[in-house]
Amino acid sequence: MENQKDKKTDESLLGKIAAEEKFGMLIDSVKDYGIFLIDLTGHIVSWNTGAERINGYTANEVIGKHFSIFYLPDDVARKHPEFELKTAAKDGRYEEEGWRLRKNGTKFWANVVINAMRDKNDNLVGFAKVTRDLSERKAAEERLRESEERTRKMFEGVKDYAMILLNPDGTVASWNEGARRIKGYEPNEIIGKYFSIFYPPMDVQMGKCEYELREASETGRFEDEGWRVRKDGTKFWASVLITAIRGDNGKVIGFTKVTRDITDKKRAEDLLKMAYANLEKRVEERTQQLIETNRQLQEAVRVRDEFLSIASHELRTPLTPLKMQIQSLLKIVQRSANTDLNESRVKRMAETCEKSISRLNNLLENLLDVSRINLGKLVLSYETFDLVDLCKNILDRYENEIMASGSTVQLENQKSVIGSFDQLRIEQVFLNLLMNALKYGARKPISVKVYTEDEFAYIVFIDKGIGIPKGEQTRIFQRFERIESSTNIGGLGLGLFITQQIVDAHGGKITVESEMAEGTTFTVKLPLTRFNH
Amino acid sequence: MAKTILVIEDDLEIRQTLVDVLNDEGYDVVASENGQRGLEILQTSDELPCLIIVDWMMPVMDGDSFRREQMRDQRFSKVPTVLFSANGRVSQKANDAGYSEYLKKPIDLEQLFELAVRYCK
Repeated sequence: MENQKDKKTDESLLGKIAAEEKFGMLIDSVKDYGIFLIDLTGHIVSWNTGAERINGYTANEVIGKHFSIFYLPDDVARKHPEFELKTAAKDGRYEEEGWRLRKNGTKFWANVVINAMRDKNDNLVGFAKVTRDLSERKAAEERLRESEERTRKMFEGVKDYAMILLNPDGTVASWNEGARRIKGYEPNEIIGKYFSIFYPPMDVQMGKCEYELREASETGRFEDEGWRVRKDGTKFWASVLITAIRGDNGKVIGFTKVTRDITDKKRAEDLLKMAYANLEKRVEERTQQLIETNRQLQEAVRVRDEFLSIASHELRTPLTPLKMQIQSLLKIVQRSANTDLNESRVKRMAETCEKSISRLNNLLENLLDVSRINLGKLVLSYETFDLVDLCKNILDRYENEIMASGSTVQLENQKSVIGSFDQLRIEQVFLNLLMNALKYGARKPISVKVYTEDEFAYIVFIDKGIGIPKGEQTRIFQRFERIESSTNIGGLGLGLFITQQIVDAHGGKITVESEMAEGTTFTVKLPLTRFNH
Repeated sequence: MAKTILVIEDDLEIRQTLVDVLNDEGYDVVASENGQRGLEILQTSDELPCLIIVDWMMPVMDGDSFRREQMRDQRFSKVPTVLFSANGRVSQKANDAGYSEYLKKPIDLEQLFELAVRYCK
């Protein structure tokens, strides 16, 4: 370093300082600080290596120049350099950070300290100025600031997510737009409040909030879906993620809490679940219906098969004597030995054949009746007659059958019961009830009553026979049904069905009372006058 | 000497016809309307029949029970017995109940006579 002797200044303290060799060498060796002296008028008196490095000027170029060359034109115009010196003169020291100019015209961010220098008589002799180039630090700070600003703006700007910073104790530290929109609180209302305010009371009581922070602290994060409460008290279904923030020392310094309102999603899911459950339920119901229908169909098929088996049996029974008699007749005729054919034998042949044919015919009639009833074609032709006469007539006609059954049949009254009915159909009713009583009457006396009461005719058959179990008393009126204990008694299981249908068509009613092993009473009630449907 | 055939049949017409046609062929016939009566006849007769013809479906005692009772009594368990039924599964039923023969209603007289000849002539 060479000693700088300013020609413009008088022999002065400043010059002496500047000329002080040891000191000058020390100053000059400093590379990171620009250190130079300025005289009272602001002109540069000395210049070190640091100043040259920072400002770009050499000592030759700059000594004697006014120090305002380092200032931006605006600062010069507002006399900032002079202000700095004045302040330093007054206070002894001035410090600031600000933009300065290099020789090449580029700016740098400088930390500037100006110290007033005084002699031993306290006279101001000049200024020492120390300049540091803080551009890099400034740029780094700027970058950090911008980054923080961006993060903050982003954080604040997110509208669909409530993004909240929580202090380690769970109080709200920051609040974004999304949080405002989702939860309804303004930042000033909520910052500093404990975050349990967002939870339903039950959850708070159960310590859910504390549990969540503990989980987040221990495992780093806590994730949950559940009901949360808005400022206005309404609930929303939230997806929540709490993440612990750790400082450099590993200590939890807070939590981020990101909350999303997924009520709509939840509702849609619930609806879907409900729809699915509903669908499953309907499928199950439908399946049960189909199973039931299938069972009914199987039962119908079983009943039909059973009926066909009974029907074929019943039809074969009258065919048996018919065929035997005819074959016997043929055989006898072929033998041409008329001696075999006595009068009573021939009479019996004819009678048996005739009777068998009648039975076959009755069976077929019954089958036809059932199919007529099924097709809804049971049409009545009304005529006025006496039910008691009809009853007597039938009992006469079926004398042989009554005898064969071992029972007796007693008509209890003789007084006429005149009304309007379908005679052939009512005959069927009498006949079916009579045949039932004979079949199931256990060879015991049967009594019949025919009488009127309140515009109705009554036909009552009372037997003392095997009886009908309580559980079967309604079933016997259905098609093809016969009481369980009757398997050894012939019949198609159509008689009572047809009887009931005929009584119904007349607007009447048939009822049964029965005790096992004590007997059965069938009561038919018919309107005396024509019934209009 | 005429051999006796026992007929057990509840249906009046069939019973009467069996009696007639077997009489025509020269057999004596004893008839009853159920298994119970049939057993009573067997138990009280001095002479056993050469053949028993039994209906299946009868009140009081059916063909199944009759056959069981018959087999139990050594006096007449060996008498040839024919099941005579309109049931579609008569052969199966005859087999199950231990009948030696069966006839399915309606029958041809020749089948009946054949059996009568086989056991009674």
